[in-house]
Amino acid sequence: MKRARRHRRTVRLALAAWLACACLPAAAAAQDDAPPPRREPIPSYVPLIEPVAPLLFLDARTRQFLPAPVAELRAAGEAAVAASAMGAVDPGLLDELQRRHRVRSGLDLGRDFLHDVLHETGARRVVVVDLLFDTGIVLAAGRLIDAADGRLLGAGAMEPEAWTEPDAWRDAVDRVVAALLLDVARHRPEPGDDLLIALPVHVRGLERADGVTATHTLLQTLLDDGGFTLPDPGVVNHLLLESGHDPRLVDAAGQQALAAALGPARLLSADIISYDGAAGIGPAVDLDPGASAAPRLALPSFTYTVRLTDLSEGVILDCVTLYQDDRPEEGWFGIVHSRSTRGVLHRTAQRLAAELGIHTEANP
Amino acid sequence: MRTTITATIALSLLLAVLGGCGSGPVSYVSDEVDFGFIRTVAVAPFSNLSADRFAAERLESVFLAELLTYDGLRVVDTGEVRKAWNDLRLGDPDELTPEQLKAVGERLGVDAVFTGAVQEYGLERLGGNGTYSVTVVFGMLETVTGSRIWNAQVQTDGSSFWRSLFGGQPASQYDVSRKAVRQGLDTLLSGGGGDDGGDDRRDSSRRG
Repeated sequence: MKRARRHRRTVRLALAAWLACACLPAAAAAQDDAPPPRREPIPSYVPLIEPVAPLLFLDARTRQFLPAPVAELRAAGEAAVAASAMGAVDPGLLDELQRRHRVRSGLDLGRDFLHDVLHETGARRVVVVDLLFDTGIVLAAGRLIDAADGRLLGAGAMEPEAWTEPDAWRDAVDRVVAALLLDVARHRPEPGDDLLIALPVHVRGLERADGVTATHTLLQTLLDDGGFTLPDPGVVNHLLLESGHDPRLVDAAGQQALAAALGPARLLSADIISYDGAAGIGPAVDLDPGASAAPRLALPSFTYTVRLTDLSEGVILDCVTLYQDDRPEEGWFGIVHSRSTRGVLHRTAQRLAAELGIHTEANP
Repeated sequence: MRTTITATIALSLLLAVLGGCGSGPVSYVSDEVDFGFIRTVAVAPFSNLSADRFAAERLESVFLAELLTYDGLRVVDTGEVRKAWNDLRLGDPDELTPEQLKAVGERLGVDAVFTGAVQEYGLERLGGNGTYSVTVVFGMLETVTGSRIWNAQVQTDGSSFWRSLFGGQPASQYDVSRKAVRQGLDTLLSGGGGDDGGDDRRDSSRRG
């Protein structure tokens, strides 16, 4: 009796194992045959309902590959921002302020401009949206800034949205802007008192869009940590330019100017250098105008270095370098994980922040 | 008979292991300088003699990260060093006059300046396999006297005995660069030694 029961159990176990073995390849095959996953619709939730000043900046350097004239792209971008930011203030008023303060880039926001935005439009927040168009794709990055003190409240960068049909670029712009604004305005931890000045990430051998994504994912990482207060990089850039210093190379005088304007702080500089063999060989100028026509599929190998500098003494407190190769990430059963540019840069920034030990004592 | 076979195998293995290793660094450390007095240093922009236009920046970045893993040295921020280099209209750090070095010392408030010159950098074909190779010369110049107090030439590559025997992924260009930097710095800061570095080093450089 006992033996028969044991036999039944063995048979049941063998059957279960056989079923598992038979079903796994079948499921994998079914997954291969399945149509591509349908894009989830963007939720209609609108977070920016209080008065907000949206600033849209367009980067369309590869003009020959644009889907429409720049003015049309701008109008579509503005419409997408207005659709998501319900509390957007009068665009005419904002345009007049931008002209008065000569605000031409999202990385050049003076505190006097923010002051005028606050007092003349009533917007307590400024949302900066950067749209970068390339061949068949649009990338969006954005920041949410407190107009009262120039503090960074939110940051994010989206995966590029692609289109294949000639007229589908408008939908792509709508989707990417809506997703970005949701991400930028999401709830984050309350910032600590420790002041950390993060400069835009400097990239060598990568595309400009990669630099924008790296900067915004680094800011996002720092904000999500919640240990410190971050002045907006646009405000920092403007302070440096205003006092006659090069924002890409902050020397001792530039550091003193920042300390005088913002108070005692630490400076975070970041560099990414490509380890792509082909990127380093050859002339410094891209001689082939058609070379950028085909969008790159994945990031090459690179090192991501962050340096933490004490503004009061001008010495480097810490420096961490991470190397990220371009091999696909393989998981269990040979499953290859997606290596999107944003995902790789964001994960690397998170690991760097953890390695660097920038956390404050209050928020270890 | 058995002893002869064993000895032959052992000798072959030893030769193979030695053959897989790159030549060690060639270094000079001045014995007239008390290195304990060198507290604050700067890393000068590396010069590049290789065909890869990012070679100097890559090596300099790795050098800075590795240098900061040693306790006891204060390193001036890169931005200020580059600004000083531009303002003082300085060229190749290895060709600075004592007066120029003194001016750098006064401007940056440093006791010494680290230099680096990348001579070879790239993929080297050995038979059918490619391996990354780096040749770099590191130096340290004292700012008060303008004299060279440390020099190390390192030639290293990603080849290894075990990899040539069993195959596998070749060492990345970053790994080879870091190995070269560590070998060079070890001749100064650890009093010679292996690839793994001295006891006073913190590991702050990781692989993704």
